[in-house]
Amino acid sequence: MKLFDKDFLRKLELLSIVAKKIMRGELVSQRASVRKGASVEFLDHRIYSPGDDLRYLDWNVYGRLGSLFTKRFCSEENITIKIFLDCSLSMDYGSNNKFDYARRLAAALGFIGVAHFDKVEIIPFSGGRRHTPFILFSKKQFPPMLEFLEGLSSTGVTSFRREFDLPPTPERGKRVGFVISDFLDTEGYKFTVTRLQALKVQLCGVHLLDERELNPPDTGNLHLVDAEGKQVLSMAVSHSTLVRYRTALQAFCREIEKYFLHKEAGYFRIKTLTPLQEVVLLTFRHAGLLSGSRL
Amino acid sequence: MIHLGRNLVLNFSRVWAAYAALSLAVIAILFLIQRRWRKVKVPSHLIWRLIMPREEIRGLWRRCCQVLNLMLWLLMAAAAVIAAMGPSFEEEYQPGNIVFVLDNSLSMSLRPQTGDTRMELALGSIRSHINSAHDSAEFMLLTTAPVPEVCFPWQEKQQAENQLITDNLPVTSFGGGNINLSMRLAARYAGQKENSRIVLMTDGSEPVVNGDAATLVILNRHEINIGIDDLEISQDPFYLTYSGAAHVHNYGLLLHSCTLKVALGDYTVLAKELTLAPGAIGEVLFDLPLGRQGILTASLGSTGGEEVDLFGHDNVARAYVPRRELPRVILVEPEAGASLLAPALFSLDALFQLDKSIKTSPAGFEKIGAQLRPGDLVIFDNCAPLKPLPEGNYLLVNSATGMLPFDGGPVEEAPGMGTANSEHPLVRFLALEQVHAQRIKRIQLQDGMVPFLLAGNSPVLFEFELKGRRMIYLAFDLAESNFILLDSFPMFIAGTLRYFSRQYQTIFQDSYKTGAALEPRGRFSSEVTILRYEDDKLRESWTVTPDDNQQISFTSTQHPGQYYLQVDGKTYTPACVNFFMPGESIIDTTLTGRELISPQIPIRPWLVGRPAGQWLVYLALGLLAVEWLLYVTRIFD
Repeated sequence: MKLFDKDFLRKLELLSIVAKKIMRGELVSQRASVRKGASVEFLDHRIYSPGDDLRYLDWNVYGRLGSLFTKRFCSEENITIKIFLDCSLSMDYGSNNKFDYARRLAAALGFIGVAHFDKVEIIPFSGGRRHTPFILFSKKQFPPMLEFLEGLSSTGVTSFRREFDLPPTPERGKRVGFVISDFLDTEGYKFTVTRLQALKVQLCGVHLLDERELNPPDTGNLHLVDAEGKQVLSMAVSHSTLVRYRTALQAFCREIEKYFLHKEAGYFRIKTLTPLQEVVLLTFRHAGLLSGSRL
Repeated sequence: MIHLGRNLVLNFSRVWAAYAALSLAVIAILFLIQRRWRKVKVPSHLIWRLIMPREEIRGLWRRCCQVLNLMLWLLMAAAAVIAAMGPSFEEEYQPGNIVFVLDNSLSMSLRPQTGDTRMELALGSIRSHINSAHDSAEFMLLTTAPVPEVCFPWQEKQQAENQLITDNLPVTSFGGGNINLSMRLAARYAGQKENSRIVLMTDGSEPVVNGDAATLVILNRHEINIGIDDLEISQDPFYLTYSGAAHVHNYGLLLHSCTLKVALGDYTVLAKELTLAPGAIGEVLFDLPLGRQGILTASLGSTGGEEVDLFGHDNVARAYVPRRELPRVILVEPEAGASLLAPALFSLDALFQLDKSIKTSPAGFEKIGAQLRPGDLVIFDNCAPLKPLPEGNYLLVNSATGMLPFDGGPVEEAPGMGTANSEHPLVRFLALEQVHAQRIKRIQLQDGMVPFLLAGNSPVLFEFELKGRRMIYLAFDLAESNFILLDSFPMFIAGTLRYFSRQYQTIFQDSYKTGAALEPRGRFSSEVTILRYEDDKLRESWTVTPDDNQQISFTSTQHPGQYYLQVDGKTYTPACVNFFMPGESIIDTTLTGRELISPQIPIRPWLVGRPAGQWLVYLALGLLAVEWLLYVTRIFD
């Protein structure tokens, strides 16, 4: 699977994921941290105490005030970007396969992260199977990440509650989380949001929808086979049925969006027909999720 | 061919189009394919289950709609297929057994002008009847002279044809016969077969007299539908007399180019006259009331007519005749209602459907007279015109003679009446010798006066012309005579109207020499009147047009032969000789035996089709529109 071309990767390098809050990171990096450090980012002044490094005395202030102050600088650390990738069977659907799209999106976000020396964790999840997260710190690990993504397969059912019902981890530092899923779990996504926010993760939901899912083309007497459970639902589908289906789907999406916004989490509803570049370079940037001015 | 009912058959002209019925199977298969259950993968049932309850409720309705939809398509396709097969509803013509009663009296051997004899014409007509009938029909032939005789009993079509054609049935003409007895015998034989008719072939002339009426009457027994014991047939003219019975409800008589005189009710109550077009075949049906008597008198007659409804007393008659402008009767009398003439005329008004029957005083006549039309009849009853009359037709009843070209002499009391010219069309068939008047005016007969009724040597009823005015003068007071009580009186009035409605009365001679002139007594109705001759030998046509003096001059010697008359663009056949001599009758020698067949015994194919394909196309289009409407409105969703 060739996920990206060079031009797209070059553009991705210019982007960075925006962390809305300044938090502590784990490693020294390019992002401002609440820690004080030796970066060039000025933080504030402090009254000189004996033993302080004389290199940080602000002689300009001494000249004006006659008092000694030392300059303090903030530390620059990295953040942890957690990308939760829905690998349930429902994702393996659509003319533009949702799972493929989700993997490409995860790879793009991961590349943006490692391009700015952030820690990226790709955490596949599905109801029936535990996946080992893939963690990468540098761009050198990008090809292995792609291999990891290519090696993923959709399986199991969507069950947010089971996946995110985990004990708190002793992780520290900044964490930005992306949940890439079709959210076909009535109440589970709420648990996910609450749980991840409890873990101090700045959360953003990416809701993937395929065109066939939005506008089912089939009418007549249909045995609707659930991609996840293989159950069969028999229904005579007419045009008016499809109208009611679309209405119900829109209501479902609006409800998810409303909940994410209520929890001050980001929410993006993305059709798989939309080119990935448009999503990353335009949609995410315009929404403030990514920054980058030199594109 | 599908039998739908007793006489109704559904036939198809393009049976091969039935293969298109496979489209029905295709539609059904497509429907089943469309309705088959298919497996469709969906990412989750989550959203579908949200709408599932409502869909289950609508499921039954939707299934019904689907079946209805299928029915609509099948019906649409079936209509289109049947339309493509060229369907026609065809009515089986019932064979109809016929008893032919052939008048073989001596008069039937006459050869009217040229062509076949009347007997040959009648036999030709019989052959045509038999030829056109269904194969299962049976026929029987009776002759009337000298006594009723069965020429051949009930026979099937082929045998009857052989009898008439191959075996050259020796039907000869005898002097005199008995139609009445023959009809009784025919009715008895007709009763042996179901759906049988009696067809009487007669010229109505017995014994034969030169110039007598030649009449062909075809009687449909089932239209008449009366018991034969109640039917009496007399002769000269042809009479069918019915003495009422409960089962009489319909009376039909078919005549070729005839004037039909009908007296309904008691003999003395009313006489009615209908005029059928020459050459036209009219249908006259009478509903006779129970307990009444009726007389039907038939002879060949005049032209024109229109659809008229006749209402007289309790009798209702309906006639369908070609349209024409009917004459008006203008009654001028000094005292309204004082005369017996008015009620009699109003009865005639109902009969003739006269345009307008005007009763007015002498003072108002000038105004009305200026609007006189050709054919209108003005009746002065017991009064005299105050001023010179405009050109027109007048019946002067006991009028003063001051402005007339003759003098009225002393009154003669209780004269004996005698007919002067019983063959004149005006008084033909009238029993004028029965007229009794208390007093008459003695009038000196002048040149140009044609008397019909004489009292001694004095003309009592006579015709004359006065500077374009055509007048009939009656020299006694109707109130002082029994004339108005006789059934001859309304017939006289009707005959007068008909007599005056003609344009010409000069009958053609056999030939005209160069320089000869034809001088009609009346005026042409319009300038486009053309008399066209077509010599039957030379096949040349020649057109004459009346000159300014309304004369037709012949620039070369002409043999009339076959001739036609065109008036106002309408062409009249030789039968329109009655147009010139109304009342006189002549058989139309141009008609063949087949044409002489009455429409009451229709000559038609065994099956008479009424194409129904277009209605099925309309049905299919209508169903398509309904289907489109259902699709647009999504009612079936």
